Amino acid sequence: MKYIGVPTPIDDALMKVTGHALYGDDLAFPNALVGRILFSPYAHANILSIDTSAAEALPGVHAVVSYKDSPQTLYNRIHRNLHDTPPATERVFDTRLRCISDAVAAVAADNEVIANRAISLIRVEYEELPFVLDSELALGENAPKLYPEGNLLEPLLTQCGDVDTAIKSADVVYTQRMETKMIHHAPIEPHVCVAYWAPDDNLTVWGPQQGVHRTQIILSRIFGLPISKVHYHSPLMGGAFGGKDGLTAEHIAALLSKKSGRHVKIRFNRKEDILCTTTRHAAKMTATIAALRDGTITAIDYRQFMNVGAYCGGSVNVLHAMCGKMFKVYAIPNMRFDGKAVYTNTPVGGAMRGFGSPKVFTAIEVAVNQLAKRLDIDPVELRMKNLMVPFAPDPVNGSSLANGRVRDCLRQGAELFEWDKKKQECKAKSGERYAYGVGLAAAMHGNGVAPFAPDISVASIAMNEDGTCLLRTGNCDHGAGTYTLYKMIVAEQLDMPLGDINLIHSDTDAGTYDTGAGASRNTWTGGETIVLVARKMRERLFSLAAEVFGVQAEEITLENGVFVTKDGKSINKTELVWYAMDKRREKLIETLSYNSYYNAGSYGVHFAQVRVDKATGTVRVLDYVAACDVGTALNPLLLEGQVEGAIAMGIGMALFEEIELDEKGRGKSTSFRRYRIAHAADMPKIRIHFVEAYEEHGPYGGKSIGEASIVPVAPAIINAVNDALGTELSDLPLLPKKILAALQK
Amino acid sequence: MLSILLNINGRDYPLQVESNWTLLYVIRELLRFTGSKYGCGTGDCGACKVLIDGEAKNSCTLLARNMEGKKIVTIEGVSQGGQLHPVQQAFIDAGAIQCGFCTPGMVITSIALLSKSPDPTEDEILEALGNNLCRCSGYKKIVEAIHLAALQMQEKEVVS
Repeated sequence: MKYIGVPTPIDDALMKVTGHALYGDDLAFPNALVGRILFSPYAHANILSIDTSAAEALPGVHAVVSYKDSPQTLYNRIHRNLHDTPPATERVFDTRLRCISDAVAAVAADNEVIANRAISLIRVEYEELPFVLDSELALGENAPKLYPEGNLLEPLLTQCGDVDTAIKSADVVYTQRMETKMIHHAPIEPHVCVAYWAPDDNLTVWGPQQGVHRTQIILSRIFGLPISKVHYHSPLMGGAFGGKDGLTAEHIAALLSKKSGRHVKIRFNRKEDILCTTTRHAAKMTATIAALRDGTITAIDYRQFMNVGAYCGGSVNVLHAMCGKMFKVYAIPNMRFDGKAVYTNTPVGGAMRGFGSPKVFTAIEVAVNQLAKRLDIDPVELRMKNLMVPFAPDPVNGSSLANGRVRDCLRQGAELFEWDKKKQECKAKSGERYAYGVGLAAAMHGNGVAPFAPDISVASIAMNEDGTCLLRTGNCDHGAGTYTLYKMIVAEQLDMPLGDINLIHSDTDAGTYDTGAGASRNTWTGGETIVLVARKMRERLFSLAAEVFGVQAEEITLENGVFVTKDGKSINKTELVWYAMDKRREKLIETLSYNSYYNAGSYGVHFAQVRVDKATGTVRVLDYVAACDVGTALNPLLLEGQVEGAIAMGIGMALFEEIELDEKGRGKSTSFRRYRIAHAADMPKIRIHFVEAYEEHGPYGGKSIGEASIVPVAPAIINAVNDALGTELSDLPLLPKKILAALQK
Repeated sequence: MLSILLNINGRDYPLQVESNWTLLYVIRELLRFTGSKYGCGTGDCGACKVLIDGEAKNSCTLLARNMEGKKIVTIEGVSQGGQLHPVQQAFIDAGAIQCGFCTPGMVITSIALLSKSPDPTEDEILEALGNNLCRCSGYKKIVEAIHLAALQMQEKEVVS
């Protein structure tokens, strides 16, 4: 193939590297105002009264809004399709504040300085309410209730086999308790949006957005506007990782614009981005794992309390998604997922890279290594004995697990890492000050939202009169290279350079419809859609060329962008476009709506070597191998970039990332100094290995990597630390103080 | 309002600024050089870095009024005469760009580093990147890009 499989830099690299690429905050609008939000100072409170008169009187202030101006529509911030009925308990402004991310009021002013001054002039009388910050305590009988019906949002129990009997009859049983914390998505681009409510009641929003159609529907519901009057344009996105899916401040900007009649831009500062958007959920988990003496794992019993925060958002989906994944990695007859999603007065949990998988697999994979130790079996061997095989049935619903290559990842990854050699080396090297250890973890993530919901992408290709083309998609590129891939696919099908393809994206007016850029859909569903629509155009061009020459389409080949007959006659795309126009009076355009009915797994096994400084408790990841089941490596360069980025994010999850709240539920993590993400110097030596085994229903046999690649990182590192120290550390993140405390035991 | 004169990308700009306006605010909002990004506002992420007399500095924590008499170069001023700076080309070739939001700051830091240390060691590169955050790439290809740029700039030197 000419384009697919070729390492290709991101196609707008030139614009980005010269500073000319325009992101949401770079767009300029006439007379735009700056919007700022007053957030709740309390984790739980009622607003008794609010006085905005001083703020309104300040010169340069054009609108102040609060619950007095707010539509009373209840909504869910990630509501997808209009007829869905997700739990909806949020209002644009409410008199009840359930966490510190709740908006009390907002202002629009000529500039940021005036807007901040206006915010400080708003007088609010609050009634503080009892609050609860812990998901387990929130289920207690006397816990403060966020909602009259109680704090339990969703219980979920799913199982196969007979877990209790298997545990009773096992030779070895190990129970792993684990805690993971709220984590910030931390794209370097903070949340930003611009809204304009026109006099004819057309509402337009510009801003980075993973789900333009979803958010269009939410705004239409909140404000009672027909969908035809809500317009969403997502420009380039400066990173998202799940955090830019659905509503953040767009509704507030819209309300300010409605009141002021001007464009209103709201850009969060980093403190707001950390504390007032959504987070990876905190969870308290228990994984019990049982085995026979020979290393046959007979049962996994997983229980968890997942901290939803104050509003549902996508939490029900996250709970169900993580449950589904749990059954797809090991071939174990008895497994149980017993999870509860619980409301508390903390910031809101939402979609984040991996969508629940990093939690469930961190608990299970750390437990598997502790089990291996108790069985005195090497953890690579223990996994080899118990992992799923390709096309095995899902033990819960019987559907095929497709061409999941977790065993190949394990075998080939262990070889590349030199597992046995490294294991011995670590033992030999460990001394008084430094301890060395190795760890690994196996895990997976899905591809798309099938079979649980419509998984629809739409694309269209129109040929231009010079033989170049316009490709329209509804998908949104988080910054990972989705658009580059889509162009590579069209280039491959139509044999044209990437530069000849103009791509329109994520725009409710000019783009096409899309379910949204989440759930690892971009390559799997979106990519396959592009293959199908490009193939339609390819076939159209072939049949036109055949018509021109009076031969069968099968007798024509496409060589160097030109259609050639067996006897050497040729016609190029420009001539075909003109032939269609002049002779057939047709514009060459193909449109296609595709739904993915399939959901393959993207598996991975990661290996880490660490050095722990026993004097300071600090961990250094030295060496890392990621073996990834990608189906086909469609663009190896950007695939590597995804995996390397996931390793950085996973190092953070394992070792230092945590949104900290004080005892009253107020945010302590207010900047990148107080919320540390991985720096360049934190990165280990990395080797990435792609296991390529064609996955049917994916574009050219390819499947997702971005989400799947973060799932095994944290457990691989934790296992390596526990190997180095002989500990059972499991309370994330593994901060130096926790390591030192474990060493003192 | 104060009257100041700033030299940015080789050109003088007479400006009226408030005493608490940051350099980032002035270059983005007044002069519309939007290549320098707001990522944190606290000097922790490096997305707003510009060259000030050849040193990479966070423009979000500098006051515009203190920048008179200095040579300021933003990402827009890095490529000369339609020709990419070797660091920019290396970032493209190494696949060091994903979402691109940190890229301008990364390029500025790399240029400042290579002007001081034309053949930097791995440790020097990691140290130079200590104040630049990237959430997409894991930094590996950014470090590779800096090595690549160093190599190409030295080869160019030899040829010329």
